Amino acid sequence: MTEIILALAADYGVPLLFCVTFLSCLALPVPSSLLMLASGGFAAAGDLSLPAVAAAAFCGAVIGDNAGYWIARHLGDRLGDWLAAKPKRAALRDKSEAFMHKWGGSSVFFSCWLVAPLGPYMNYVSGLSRFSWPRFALWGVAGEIVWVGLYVGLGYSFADNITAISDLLGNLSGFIAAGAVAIGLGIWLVRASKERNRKSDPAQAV
Amino acid sequence: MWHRVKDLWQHNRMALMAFMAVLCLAGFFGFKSVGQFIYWSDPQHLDQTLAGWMTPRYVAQSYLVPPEVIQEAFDLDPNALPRRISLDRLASENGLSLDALQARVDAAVADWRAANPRPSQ
Repeated sequence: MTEIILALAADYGVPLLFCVTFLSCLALPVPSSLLMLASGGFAAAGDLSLPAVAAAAFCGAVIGDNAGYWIARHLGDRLGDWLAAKPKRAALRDKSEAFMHKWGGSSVFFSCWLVAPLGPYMNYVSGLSRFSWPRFALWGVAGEIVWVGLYVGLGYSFADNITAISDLLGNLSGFIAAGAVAIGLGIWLVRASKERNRKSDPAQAV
Repeated sequence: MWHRVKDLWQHNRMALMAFMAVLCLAGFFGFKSVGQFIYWSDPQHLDQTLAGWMTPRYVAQSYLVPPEVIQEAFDLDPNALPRRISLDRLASENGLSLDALQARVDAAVADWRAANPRPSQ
């Protein structure tokens, strides 16, 4: 997939970049970060225009984020009865809504760039939990500015070795995403265990 | 600490296993990042091997030589419209392999570097 998309970069340049960032925000497995780096490199070499590259990547990402959000939101409305039918499902939905209400903005922002591999799923969770759309859109735009600026900027500045940058960033973002999930799961596990302790042995509770 | 792990193993086995798996994944990517950083810090690895997606001008950028050096090496007309063309297409249009292009680039870049020792800052 990576090879095919990259091979098209020289021929289709800016429009291709728009399509790829759009699709990547819907969780499709397209090499958006590598293409942004390569397009930034092409811009540095004079084969593409830098503002056009940045604008295409940014518009594709923002439109993709919002498309993912609305798809999930419509799906969530349809699934409303199914979710409410079982108390366990309803509780899960209420919990994720409460989480999004409290942490939604920053979660959307950081999922756009710092933990980018989780970004598309964050869009779907936001839509499913009926997170406020203006907040989602605003934080999403801010996050995508950072994401696009970071990758296109790195591609432009380090044009002499895109391969090195993309290898490094790919592993680094995998590390950060896995680390973030591990921390979240760890906190949840410790809390669950503590709560059980307190319930089973109230005397020991501190 | 240990009793907590045991407790979790009894009650949240799936979540605990998922936690371990994600932790291993983070370690894997962490080690790879460090390894790659060390690899690419070596100046010997700085010249990128040609890839099909690159354009002639991008190759020039990558090897830090003027675009004309690469255009000449590929027999491209420097006065032709500035056209983006991928090396894949360039190779197939001229019946060459990527390795052949690489050999031409290596030779042209070596010549240029011999004639222009260290770009003046």
